[in-house]
Amino acid sequence: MYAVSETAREKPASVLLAEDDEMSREMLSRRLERRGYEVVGVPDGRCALDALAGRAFDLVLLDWMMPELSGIDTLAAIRARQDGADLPVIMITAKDRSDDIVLAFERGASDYVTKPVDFAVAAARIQTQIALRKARLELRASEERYALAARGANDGLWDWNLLEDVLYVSPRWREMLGEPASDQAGASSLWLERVHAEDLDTVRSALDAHLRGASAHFECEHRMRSSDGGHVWVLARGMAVRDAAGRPYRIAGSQTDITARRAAYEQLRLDATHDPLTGLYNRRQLLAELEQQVAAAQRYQYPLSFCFCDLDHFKQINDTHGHPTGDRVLRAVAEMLRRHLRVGDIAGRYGGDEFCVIFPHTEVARAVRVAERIRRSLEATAFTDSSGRHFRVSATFGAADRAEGSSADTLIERADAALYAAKREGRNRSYPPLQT
Amino acid sequence: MANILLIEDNELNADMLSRRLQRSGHQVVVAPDGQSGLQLAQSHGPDLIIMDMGLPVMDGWTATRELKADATLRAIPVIALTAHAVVGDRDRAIEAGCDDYDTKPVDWARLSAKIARLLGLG
Repeated sequence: MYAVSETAREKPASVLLAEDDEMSREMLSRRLERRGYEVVGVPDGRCALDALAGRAFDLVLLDWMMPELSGIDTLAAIRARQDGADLPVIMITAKDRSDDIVLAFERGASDYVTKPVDFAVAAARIQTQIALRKARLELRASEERYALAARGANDGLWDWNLLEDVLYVSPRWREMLGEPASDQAGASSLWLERVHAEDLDTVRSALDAHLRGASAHFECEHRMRSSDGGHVWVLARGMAVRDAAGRPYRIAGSQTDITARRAAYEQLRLDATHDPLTGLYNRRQLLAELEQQVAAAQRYQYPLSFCFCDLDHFKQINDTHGHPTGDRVLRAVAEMLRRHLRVGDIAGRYGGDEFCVIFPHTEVARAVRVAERIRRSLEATAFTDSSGRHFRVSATFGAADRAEGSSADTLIERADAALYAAKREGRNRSYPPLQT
Repeated sequence: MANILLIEDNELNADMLSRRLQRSGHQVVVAPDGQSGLQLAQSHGPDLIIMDMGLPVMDGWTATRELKADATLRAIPVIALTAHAVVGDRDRAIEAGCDDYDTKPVDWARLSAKIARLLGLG
């Protein structure tokens, strides 16, 4: 009941005045009421404690010398109660009793006034104490709100004293990295040495930018090394506190575990650009790459080839050996492409049993040499289906290079015409034929 | 895009044409003769049929007449493919009920323009 009620801020501040001398009590009460305070006057410490047990007050004034329970003992009783710890208590003492004043502060008095009471001084001290307490309560409420929000969001918190390089991290911050939950402080290295080596520059530059004042917030998505040897993706956010000259002296913020979100994002990106069966680029991505390569080849004037690779009679393979075996063949072809392609060559699955390769910086004759290596390698591979039957797979390749000024579509059509020619000549071959 | 039924007995031509159709985003089913073509038309209800006229078992002329005589299939557009050399095939194809006509070997750009027009995409 000692806590300030929700509506206390709108209501006049309430003062409990314990003073055994009736004249003094009445006078002080009236003057305080004239200042807008709500005052309850009681004649001794015992009554003061009873009043406090019945309702909340914003401040207590205790006379030192009182019957029943003296001011100093009443103070001790108030402070002994858990909810009385932050209630402002001002002692009223006789002038020149410096020992009393020291004792009062030792017992937890917030302030004192001397008798005879100089009302202007007393009013100023009362007002200061009430304002201080209000600020304290608001700060605590806001800290509690933030801590609660952080806990609800499962975020870790960090607070870095820049001047002394002392970094506090919350238990959840450590827990996120798989470490035992502890709130032991350390230096900033505590943080930075846990940042993934590849992301350290990103974190540093984001921090520097904010501390310099170049960004309104510090915000950085990066990896943190976790205690199991792996890493977690985190979103670190924070804001610096600056002195009058604008120099930062403290920066604090939160750390959110975004590993799951990041994984979902990576998967989405992979799904959008890759064929799930073979892991090669899908048709859309392949065409996007081809457009880029055609533009680059036109601009920088280098040769560019494009090659179709079509499995021969793949429908029969599926019909005879079953779709799981057919899928295995497709994956094997994809693997063969990966093995034989050179750095910079771009392979994709165009659809069904149709693969494609983009060969940047490559004349068609060289593209056919690579195609022939893949074709022979496939021809030499023995496949076995789920019933133990052996079978062979072959593929037909049609390659073309880009003519000056022509588009990606034209290049695809030319490669398609080459593939047609290779099939007409009996499949399991490349067109144009290998030059020896 | 669209479901296309390709009725073509030449395996290589069927292969190349269906690949090109698929690359344009269409779904393709292939029948090697007029008889199975009719059955697939009934079971699949394609958006468009490309019909080679020189088919085994049941030729394209007969298959087209049967398609156009069937009230449930009549509305499906049919493009006839005939050998380039044969004069008068165009008229015969239109007479049989084909909605359009092209010659082999296929000029892909021209054929795909006709497909797009009949599908209402052009």
